[in-house]
Amino acid sequence: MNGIKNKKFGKTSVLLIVGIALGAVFLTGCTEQETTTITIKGSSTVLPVAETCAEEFNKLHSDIKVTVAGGGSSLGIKSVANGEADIGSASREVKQSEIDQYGDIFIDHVIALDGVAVIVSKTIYNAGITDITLDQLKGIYNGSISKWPTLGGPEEATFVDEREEGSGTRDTFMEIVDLEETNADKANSANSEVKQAVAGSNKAIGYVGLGYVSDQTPALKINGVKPSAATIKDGSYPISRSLHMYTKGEATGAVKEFLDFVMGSEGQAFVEEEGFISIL
Amino acid sequence: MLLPRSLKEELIKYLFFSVAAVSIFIIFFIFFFLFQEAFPAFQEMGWDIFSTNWNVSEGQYGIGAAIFGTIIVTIGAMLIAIPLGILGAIFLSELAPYRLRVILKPIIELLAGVPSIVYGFIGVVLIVRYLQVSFDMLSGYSFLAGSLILGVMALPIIISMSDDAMKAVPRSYKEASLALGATKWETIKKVTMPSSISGISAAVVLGIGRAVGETMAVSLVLGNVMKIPIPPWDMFESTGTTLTSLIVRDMGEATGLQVNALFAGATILFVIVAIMSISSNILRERVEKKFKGG
Repeated sequence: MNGIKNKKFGKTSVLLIVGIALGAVFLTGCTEQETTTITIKGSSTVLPVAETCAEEFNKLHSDIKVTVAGGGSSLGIKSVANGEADIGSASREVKQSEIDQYGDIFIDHVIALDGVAVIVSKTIYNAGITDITLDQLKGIYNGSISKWPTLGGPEEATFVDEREEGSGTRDTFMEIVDLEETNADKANSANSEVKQAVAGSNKAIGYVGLGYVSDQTPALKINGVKPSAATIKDGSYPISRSLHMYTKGEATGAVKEFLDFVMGSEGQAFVEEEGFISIL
Repeated sequence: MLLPRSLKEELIKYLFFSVAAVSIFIIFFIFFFLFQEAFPAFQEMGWDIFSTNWNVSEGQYGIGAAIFGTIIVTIGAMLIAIPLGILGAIFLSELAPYRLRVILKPIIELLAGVPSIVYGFIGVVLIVRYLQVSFDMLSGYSFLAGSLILGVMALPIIISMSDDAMKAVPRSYKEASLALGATKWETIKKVTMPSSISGISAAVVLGIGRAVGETMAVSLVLGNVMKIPIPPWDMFESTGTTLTSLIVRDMGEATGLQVNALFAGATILFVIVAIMSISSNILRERVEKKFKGG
């Protein structure tokens, strides 16, 4: 008898659980319909700005949820083209090859300016290498200059750090320094990794976003111009770029609202907080 | 419950057969997929795929530098792991007092369970820094750092499995040897080692397999650049890449023929492992035959 009773109880509880589960699914379904989700994917350079802006924006709008992911500029552009993301962030402009591949569907929103700073190990900087020309940079990265004494530095080989393919920082650097191929010693997957490699060495050179310059990794002047907000805004610092958020066609609705927020005074405050240069 | 015994037996047999068949099918599909995806790269590029000319902007995908890196790092790792591993196993199984063995063995086995990213992290923070400062290397990121880490990662497998193999040698063999007046070392060299050689070579193959296929730890300390050291004797100091790190680095960005080139890399990796495994089997059979015949 007891066994049978237990079995019956088992059936009721199973029904109950299924009911609760169905109810939960139904309820979540309801709330999801009311919230608009905006997905941003792309550049690791834009990532910190996008994240802080999204966080603040989500607080202000209970009906919109912005989610942010990295992956690199190329992925951002690919994702917005195939609809995986509403906004594709990139630290470079859309390439002609991408327009050929996906069609002329991209609308550009410049959200910030940034300079690519060339950093060296502290010992190199202290030994007197504080200024470099674009030609010398080209020589270092294509391998024709492989020792610091060529530039008047200490008796050491150059440990050349670059970024991996797909990095917008790399694309900007390569284009402005006029390089097709490099002969670097280490390919890094993030700005912070370059910074770490350069800081940990006594003969390294690398390039990073302006926000990653520090005392341990001092930035060189390029053709006599120091990278700073002022020199990048007035265009005198040569290795600079703008940061972009791309949409597929004109932005509308919640996406437009978010972009306005980023490009407005509040968003631009976050841009400066993250070490970039405001467009305002 | 009411099934006749014979039928039940049959059913279980088929169940086990189908489970075994599934794993064979999975391997077959992996084969097929790898070769299918790699084929266009071989077709398009011919022998150029083995060249060292890797230039994405020009559509040149020669993976020679990565093959070279894989071979160098694996050889380096084995130079470290095989002697240390086998000597460690001899100590553990033949020489260590029982109490020490009981403590050491589980600790060594625990080493095998450390996630590779942890080895990689330690490599970046300690080994790379140490090599740079102590040997005045270009950066410390180097084939040497990769070999050291992989060697350490392969050690627990080689020690633990070789130890098991030596422990499995019948006691009577060793006793007979000692009774004939052989010393402990002679017994190890002429009786224990030859009888357990199949187990030891299996351990070494597994260790090599781990070294060849390891990705995370290596890509953290190698530098990930498609480069062959010039001059060649700089091989341990210079940075480079392996097939695994190349695939990890580029798969997110690759399109078109580059994807096929990465699959070609995976296929070559597969072939390297297969050749190693087969040649070790041949070697093992030869040694066994000789030992049993003698």
